[in-house]
Amino acid sequence: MPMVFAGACSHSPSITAQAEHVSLETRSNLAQAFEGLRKAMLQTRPDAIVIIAAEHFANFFMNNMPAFAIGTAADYNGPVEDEGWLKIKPTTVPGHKSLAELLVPELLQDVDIAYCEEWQLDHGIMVPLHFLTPSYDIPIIPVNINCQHPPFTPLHRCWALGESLRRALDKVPERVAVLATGGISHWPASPETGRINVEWDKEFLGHWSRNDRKSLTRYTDNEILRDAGHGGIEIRTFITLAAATKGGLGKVHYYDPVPMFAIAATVATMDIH
Amino acid sequence: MSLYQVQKLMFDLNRDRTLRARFIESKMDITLQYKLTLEEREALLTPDIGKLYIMGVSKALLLYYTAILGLPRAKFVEGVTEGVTRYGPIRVNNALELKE
Repeated sequence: MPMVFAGACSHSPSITAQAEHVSLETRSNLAQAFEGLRKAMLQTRPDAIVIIAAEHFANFFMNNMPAFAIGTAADYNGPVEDEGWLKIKPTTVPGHKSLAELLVPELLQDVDIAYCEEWQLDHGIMVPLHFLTPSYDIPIIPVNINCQHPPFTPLHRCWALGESLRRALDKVPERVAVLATGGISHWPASPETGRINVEWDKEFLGHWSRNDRKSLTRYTDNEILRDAGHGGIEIRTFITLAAATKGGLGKVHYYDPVPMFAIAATVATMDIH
Repeated sequence: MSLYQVQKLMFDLNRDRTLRARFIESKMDITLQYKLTLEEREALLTPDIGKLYIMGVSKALLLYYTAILGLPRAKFVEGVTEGVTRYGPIRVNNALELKE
């Protein structure tokens, strides 16, 4: 089984940048949740991590905005944000170039995905890695979905990406962990920052945990923007992961609304079928 | 209004540490490399976070820009909140331009 692990977690930059502004208990509980995810992932002995994130204008802009992109580099520098702001030291994360180059032609059979030999990692990838592979010793393959600028990648296309990714992974011998990162409801960098729609989150996570394709892909962007904020657009990463598991059931291990982090800190895993 | 150019400047600053350093040294010189209106250039140089916000600059880019300028996060939240009060609603809200 080449896809050996499916996990999802928050990536808010405030988790590291604003850590000193929340209680020790909040920090400790989240660190423990990440540690649980780290241990579960390492137990599956992954050769690589495909990390599906919502890029935030670190690599792609409106001059050329792909619906999907995948990294094919031998290594990646990050974080693009200043260390003083994100509180994560600049580093080089190894990439799994040979595996990425095998995946790209397979993915292109189903989805039009851009491939990139240059990629700067932003908080969407660096915050999760900071907790999950703090020594950055497992090569990664970053995947981006346009959650940043409308028109956003349609949800049913994210589902198609997940299915395609799984088909591609089924053809390679490497043991691959797949991680989805992002917020559920949140209104970052706005006057409403810190607002969290717990009811909406729980409904979404319920759909996600049941791997309910119909419910997961029926949201309109306007509904998401109204009920889950512009940050809620990032549910695309969770939806892609759900599709990649081929109907696996999810388990939310940790959910804690933390307004200072602008999100409900979330850690979850999903079975792989 | 050349919102695209304002955001392109911020995008370039976010990606390029050398440009960032040059910008901190001489903000005006760098802004002159982009096709900006007087209002946009003034908002960038002041910096008037509230004005940039209601112009419709991406929230993520604006947050990074605030960080590049070394302003505390509280200043950002204060700026965007005051911007709406002072200048009115967001002129071009990219996220809310969507049609069903």
